[in-house]
Amino acid sequence: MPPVAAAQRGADTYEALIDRYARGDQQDAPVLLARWGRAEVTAAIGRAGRLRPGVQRAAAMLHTDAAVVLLAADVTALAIFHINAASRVLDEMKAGSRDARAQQFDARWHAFVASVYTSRAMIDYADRTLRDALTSYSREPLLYVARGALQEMRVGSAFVDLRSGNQIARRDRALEAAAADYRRAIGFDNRLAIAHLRLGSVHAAQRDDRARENFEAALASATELRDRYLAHLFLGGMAERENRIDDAQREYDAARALAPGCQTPYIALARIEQALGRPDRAREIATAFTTLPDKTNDPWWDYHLGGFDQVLLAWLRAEARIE
Amino acid sequence: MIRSLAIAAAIAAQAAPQAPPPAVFRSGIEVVELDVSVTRGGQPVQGLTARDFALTDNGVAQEVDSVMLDRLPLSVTLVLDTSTSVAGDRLAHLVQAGDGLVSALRPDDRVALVTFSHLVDLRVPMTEDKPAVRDALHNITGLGATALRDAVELALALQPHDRTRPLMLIFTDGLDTTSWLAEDAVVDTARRVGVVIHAVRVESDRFLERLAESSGGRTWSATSDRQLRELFTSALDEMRARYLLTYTPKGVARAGWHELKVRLRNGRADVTARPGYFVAAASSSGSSRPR
Repeated sequence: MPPVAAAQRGADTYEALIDRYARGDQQDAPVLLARWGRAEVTAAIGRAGRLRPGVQRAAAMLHTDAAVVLLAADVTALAIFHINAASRVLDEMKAGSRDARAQQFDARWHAFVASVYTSRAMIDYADRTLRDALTSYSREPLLYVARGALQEMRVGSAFVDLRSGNQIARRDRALEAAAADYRRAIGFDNRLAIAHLRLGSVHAAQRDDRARENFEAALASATELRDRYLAHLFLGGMAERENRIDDAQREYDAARALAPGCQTPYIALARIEQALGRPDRAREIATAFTTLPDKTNDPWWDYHLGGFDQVLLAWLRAEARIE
Repeated sequence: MIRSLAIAAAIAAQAAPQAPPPAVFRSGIEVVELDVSVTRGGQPVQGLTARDFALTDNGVAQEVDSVMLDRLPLSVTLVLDTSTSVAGDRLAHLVQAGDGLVSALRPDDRVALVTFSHLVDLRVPMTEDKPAVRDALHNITGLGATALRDAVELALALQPHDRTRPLMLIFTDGLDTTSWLAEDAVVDTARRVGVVIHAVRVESDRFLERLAESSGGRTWSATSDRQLRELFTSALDEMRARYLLTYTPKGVARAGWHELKVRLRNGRADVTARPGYFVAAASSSGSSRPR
């Protein structure tokens, strides 16, 4: 993404871009900012202390979305520069206002940024972000969820030699540390569906019978489509493992009904039909998926790979809006 | 692959290989078809007849009714990794390899193209229209994570049930990162479906080895991207050199897993075939579908 000279940008001043973003242009404004040179950005955020807190939230998210745009274009160094710029704006916001809304925004922004880093396998960056945030916000449950997910990701990305007692023990310790973070998050907010989901996943990996009740708790408290979808998927997986095939199909069907453009329920249902000796049904299901006109991003992928936390991103963007 | 003799004969009489599969399997008249590779010193052994093969089904010796070599058209499903790691030169070589394989197919052979990153995409359904597949090959790009197991499951579900010989050729250059399904589940499906699976890989992958073994296929290691075209063609040649054995099971229970062992009665050779086949238990109506 080539930088655009200041003269070419015309009226797209920093404040104008923030205003565009805050009023709902959350697609084009970050793209325009992403084209700015570092010196101009640095000069612009020097003025961030004079902005109102609501505008500062918008400014921080403008930089964050610019970073998302740059990461998608594989311009990693500049993306990190914009994340740091957002962090500086948030520091100004905290210095000027210690209200609960500002603090919650700041805490959740850090949890989201950790997911941005994990999406690029930048584990150390994510780790540092979460450590810093937890020193300021030790009662923010989403930060514990993010840290637990990071622990899980470390296990997932490392090859574990199942013949090695040491490696298995290391994996088990990491999973237990993740579970402890999820339990802590639930302790702060018992209705946090994503924490129940993640705790259930760890329990399932540990062959712990509590997994099912974790997923049921997630489903009962889920308000986001992502969380309800994942809860049904995981309950389907548990039912399959326990050989409750009718229940598994019901759960996968429920997931498919919630997100008909997502791949995973079709794959899971086709597999069940094969196992039941019904290849014609498996073919029907597979064909239904392949002929879908609109396939959509499957939350399972981000959940499993440590991708962007889309729910947090949507919340942060909404908080950055000024009507 | 197990079929009703009567229905198989009816299907064989039809011109189009896309004829629908038998809806219901009637016990007592089934015939089992088995793709078998026979090589000696890496070279196909030719000229074998039914009398040359010794075959047991769940330990019970069976009489091989017929042996055909390369008589039926192939239905080839290309399952290609298009994740980020493939982008660049490797993708260019992969497209060339796919193009070469499609060019080597005969007019009545059919081919389908499935690509996968984290998303599994049926680019071209099973067709005799080879230019359409070539066009699709030249339009693929490399981006995303790797859902190999999910892709194989979907491709297995889409296998045609007809009188062609199904071959699945998988290419991947890395390990699975994002599938929903576990390895055992997909290997189990492969054992049930009866497709010969060949896999060309860059890195060692236990899953692909299990998959190929469970289907009577084999894995091929690419030491360089330039080798892909040669290996794709080798996989096709190997399939063409296979024998298709048919027999009517006798003295064995119908439902459940049937373990197969095939060898030559006289002479030494490497005989590769799927390790067995599965027949679903009869439903309440007294019939079940072929596996």
